[in-house]
Amino acid sequence: MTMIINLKNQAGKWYTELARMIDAMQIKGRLKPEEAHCLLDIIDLVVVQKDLEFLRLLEEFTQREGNPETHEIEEIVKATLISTNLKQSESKEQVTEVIGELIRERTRILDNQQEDNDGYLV
Amino acid sequence: MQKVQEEILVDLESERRVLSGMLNSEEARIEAYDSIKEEDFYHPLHRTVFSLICQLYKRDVKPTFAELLKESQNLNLFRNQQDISELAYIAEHFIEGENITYWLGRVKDRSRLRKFESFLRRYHQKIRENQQSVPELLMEAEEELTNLTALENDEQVDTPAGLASLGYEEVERRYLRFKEINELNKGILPLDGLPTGFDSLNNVTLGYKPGDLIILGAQTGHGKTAFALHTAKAVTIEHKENLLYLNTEMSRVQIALRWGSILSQVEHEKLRSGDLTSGEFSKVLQGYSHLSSSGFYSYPCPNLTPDKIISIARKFRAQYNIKMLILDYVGRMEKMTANYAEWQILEQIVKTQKMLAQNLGIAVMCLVQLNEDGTLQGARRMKNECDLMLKMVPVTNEEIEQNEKLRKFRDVNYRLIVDKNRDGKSGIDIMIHFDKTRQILRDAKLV
Repeated sequence: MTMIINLKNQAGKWYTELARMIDAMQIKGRLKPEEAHCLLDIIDLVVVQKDLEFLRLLEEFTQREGNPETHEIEEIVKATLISTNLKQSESKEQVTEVIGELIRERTRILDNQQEDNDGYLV
Repeated sequence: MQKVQEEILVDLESERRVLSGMLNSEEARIEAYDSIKEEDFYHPLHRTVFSLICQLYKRDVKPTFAELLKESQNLNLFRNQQDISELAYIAEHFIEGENITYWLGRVKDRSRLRKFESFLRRYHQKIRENQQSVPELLMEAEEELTNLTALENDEQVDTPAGLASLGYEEVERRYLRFKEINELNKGILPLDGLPTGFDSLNNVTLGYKPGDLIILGAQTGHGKTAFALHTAKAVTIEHKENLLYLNTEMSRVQIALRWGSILSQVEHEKLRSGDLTSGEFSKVLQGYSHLSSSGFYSYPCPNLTPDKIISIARKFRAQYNIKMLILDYVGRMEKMTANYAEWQILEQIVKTQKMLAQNLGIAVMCLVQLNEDGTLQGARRMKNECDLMLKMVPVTNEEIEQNEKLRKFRDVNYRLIVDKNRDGKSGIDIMIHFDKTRQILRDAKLV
């Protein structure tokens, strides 16, 4: 039997592995179907379409994630992403703008908090 | 024994290559969508993957691995790890789009071999049952075997009875329609195909029908593109059908501006310069709103080849259900073989377009350039291929003065010569009016 030569680079392998992981988590009930769909759309955007602007936005979002003060904003970002059809370029542009604003607002809150903490220490 | 048999009848690697090609290349998707069927795959999972890719392709969604997983979640497919692993394997091992025909050929051959094997088994069984006479059995087997060897899936042989029945139904339909015309429509013929945009041409042709190749010749600067867009307006805006317009020499902006003028009836020059009154501006806006909701798809493509046309037409037929394709114009297409004479190249292009029209069941219009003396290079050969050949030529004042027939029309300035009409009368002239400033064409008005 002829063997197929794997011509894809490592990124392609990671892409399928990541997609499989998302799918498996959905099957196990650890992700809701709409969450899984959103994540699959995101990896298509970042890996297949190589949308680096969107990737940077997501990186920025995850860098300072997890502070109780900004928990609400982060939930809004996630809900916005899930309810958007990222395959439609118009919707994606709109959501990129909205999320950018939400991240800036979060940065402002976290910076103020940092300043307050620094002031308290002084 | 079983393993050897499977290796002969089944080629899973080729099936995987076809599917991975379809996942990774649009060219491969177009080719495979048009030439292979779900049942040609042996592996049930491959059949499902093929069907999913085709469904996504028809919706103009790029079928990535993630997209397939989303679809499978929605439809509750591929729920075990083995299936997902097979799907991932297909996605990771792609082939280049240009190799797709080779792998498609392999999959189709195995599919035919399986059908042949099943045929042999069935007839072996029939021989053992011994219930049919030998001549009857052989005749039946021969017919089935002919279909298997000589014909593609979408071809069929017309039996005498089948053809007679088809002819009768067609005449009956026309007979009833003719009666209806006389009784209800006061003699105006309803169309068999798409409207031409001219009442007089509609009467002569009964419209552009699926499978028709229409050739329109005109000299440079004498309305080829205006004729094409006039046809497009009749089909997409007035008749609400989808059409693909391939232009080899105009930019997107130029095409959009032409539409503005045609739909608003505001002079083209005014649109180009922007020297518009507010009333004209509002007319233009209204005109574009008609275009916006129409089925007009434009594909400006300066380096068009016959192969590329086939590929684009197949894609638009599958995804947008186009009923007509207009190629504006043939002379600007890329030459396939440098050492061919001009007429040979044109003949090849026209032949390809005729096959395309028949295979996709759409009307195809090709615009060609007439020589200064009104003749067409390679005209005889082109005429052989097409179903309708029209020439659009200007009418001079001298001609009007000398020709009584022309004087019956108030504003004739061009005529359409029906040089060939496979389904009706040819050798007749249709008088038209071409308003160059607004790029509008219509039937000439009688005095």
